[in-house]
Amino acid sequence: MKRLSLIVAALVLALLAGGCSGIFPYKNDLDKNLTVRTKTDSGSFFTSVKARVDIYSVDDACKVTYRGTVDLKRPEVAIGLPAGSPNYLDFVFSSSSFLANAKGSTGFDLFFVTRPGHEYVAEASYVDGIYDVILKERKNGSNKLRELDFGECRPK
Amino acid sequence: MKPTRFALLVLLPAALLAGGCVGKMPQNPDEFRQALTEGAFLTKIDTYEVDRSTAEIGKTFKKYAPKCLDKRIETISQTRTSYQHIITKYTPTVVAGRDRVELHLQEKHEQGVLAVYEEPEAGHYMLVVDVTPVGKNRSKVEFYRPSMGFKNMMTAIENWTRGENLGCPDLTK
Repeated sequence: MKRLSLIVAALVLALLAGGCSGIFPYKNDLDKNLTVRTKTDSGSFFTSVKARVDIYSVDDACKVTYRGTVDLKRPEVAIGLPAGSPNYLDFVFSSSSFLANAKGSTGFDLFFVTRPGHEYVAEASYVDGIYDVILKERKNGSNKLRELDFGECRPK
Repeated sequence: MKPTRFALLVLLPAALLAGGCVGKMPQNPDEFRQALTEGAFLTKIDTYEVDRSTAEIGKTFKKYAPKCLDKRIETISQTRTSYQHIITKYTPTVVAGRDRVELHLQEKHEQGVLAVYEEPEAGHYMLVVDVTPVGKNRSKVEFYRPSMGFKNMMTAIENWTRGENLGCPDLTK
């Protein structure tokens, strides 16, 4: 009985901790219209870098609602964003050093409207302390990519 | 020995004061240039030429400075005996004219580092980059900067002037 109580308590704690972190996976069940290509290299054997993108919907007043996070562990990840809607993407690069017991995260955000009949490519890179995210748009079936500005809505 | 980030944050403004031999922090880019020209401690002036037009470098500054440097950075470092929680706001300014482009960067510690002397509202000047033409597609760059630390920031800004490996510096390092 005592053991069961301990297991239940541990489960409750785990659920609470999970809920408190505030980060949850993006549902990603819409037609895929964004491809994120990611390249990370910390430049040091003792430091690792992880990338993720936090996805938000945006209203007319530039107020954002968090929809979830996609881990950018693979070199290429397909994401489905609602077509015809404004989106706010926050790319986060987190680094941790094994020796110095130091952690840090940086990145930047993009605001853009996904147009129906268009697809998007985001090139996210973090190499040796220098990072960038370049967002491009093309019509479905076209090879011509157009670089987009990172938008005027800056809610965070 | 590599100085800690905290030491650099404290030393840089102090160095500007010591170098100028005055009890006054540079209040504008001209005073900052003057302090470095007079040999402010822990600072240096790099001068080099690049095969890019001044207008082109201005475009790069305008594209990258706001998205990369207009940031609030929070760093926490903890050992068994100390705990430091620093919040720093960086404010870039790009002044792009026809024959001259300037990039100024100010740094304001909002938490964790005390500003002893009167600073400009957006914080003390941390670096100034002046770009002037020396030919049709060639420019001279004068980079007034700290001589230690801030490796990523210095590398990224130099890359912007050269038009190579463009990107944002990780300011947490």
